[in-house]
Amino acid sequence: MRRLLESGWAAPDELEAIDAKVGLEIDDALAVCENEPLPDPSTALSGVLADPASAPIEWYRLLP
Amino acid sequence: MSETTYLEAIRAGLAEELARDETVLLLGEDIGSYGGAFKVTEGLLDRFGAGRVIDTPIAETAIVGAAAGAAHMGFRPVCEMQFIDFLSCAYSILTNYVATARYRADLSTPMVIRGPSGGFVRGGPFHSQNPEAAYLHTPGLKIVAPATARDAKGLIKAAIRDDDPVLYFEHKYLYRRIKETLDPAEEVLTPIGSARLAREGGDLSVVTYSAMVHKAVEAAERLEREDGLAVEVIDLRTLAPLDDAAIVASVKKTNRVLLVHEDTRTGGLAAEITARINEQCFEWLDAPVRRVCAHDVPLPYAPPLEDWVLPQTEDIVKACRWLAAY
Repeated sequence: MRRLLESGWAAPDELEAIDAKVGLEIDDALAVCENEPLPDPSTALSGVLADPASAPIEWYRLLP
Repeated sequence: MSETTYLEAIRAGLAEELARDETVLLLGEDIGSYGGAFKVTEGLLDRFGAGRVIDTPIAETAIVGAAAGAAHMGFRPVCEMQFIDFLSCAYSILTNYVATARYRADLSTPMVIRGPSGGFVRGGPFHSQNPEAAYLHTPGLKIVAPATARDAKGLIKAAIRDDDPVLYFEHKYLYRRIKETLDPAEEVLTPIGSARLAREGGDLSVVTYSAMVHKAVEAAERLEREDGLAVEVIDLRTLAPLDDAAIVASVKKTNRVLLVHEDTRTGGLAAEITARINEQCFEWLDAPVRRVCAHDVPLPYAPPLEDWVLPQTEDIVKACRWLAAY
């Protein structure tokens, strides 16, 4: 940041504006995450591989 | 006598060995003035100095490589991985160099690599791994995984005194949850290669290690109360070399065995133990060997997903009932 300022590549108010904008984006993203419901456990096994699309459920979870 | 946590027991073991043997030294990221990410080494820099409690760059290969060189030169280094997940960053030097040094070149390599493993702490996929299976397949490495404060102390001391490279997997979930009364004046040494009978029983055996020992004992107590079942729990303590005799003795006693680990199922330690049981005492079985392991996925971060992926006490209870009824 010091180099940006000393070299004249950016003015202090430009950097402050970027900082504020990024801060708001992070706050917004955090709010979205915190307000989302927790994921359903049934989604835990998908997405490891393209094929098969889901890992198998362990046998003990199928017991009554 | 004092109540000692699992974490304090590791620290006490390290301190005792540093005090006992001048060739023992510690290396790791932030282990000095910061005392380690979990504070396992807190206070050791002040007591033993920067020449023996050495802060390193964030470079696992360098940590393990420097330790190997020191070990060849007569030291007994103990490396800390800030999370044991990142031991994979040093996989090549560990498996190609350290593990083979004695066999290849008669090079003594007495060193310990320790670090926090395991889940149940909402750490997500990079800070919750149980990577023991990745190293079990490498001849030349010993692997230990204590479940109790006493063994946490006894195994770190035994590992430091061992003439071979030892991977010491400490479970972060147990750090401050497990306590027991230890006499600071007692020399606690847990022999490497020896399992422990955590709970005696005659109806079926649960063979497990590390944090799952506590879930297995909890399940066994519940099964005794609710079903009248006497479940034996074997705490392996050492994963390499395995205590075959203890496993076989329990199988011959109960004729039913459930293998439980927090690591994922495929290629896990339970598969190896199943094969050994088949080789050594198949005729004694009254039911198939079964496994309760984590699902074959990276450990997710979200609490409901982590809870669902990892084996829980209820899973062990249900699996034991299935085995008992077989």
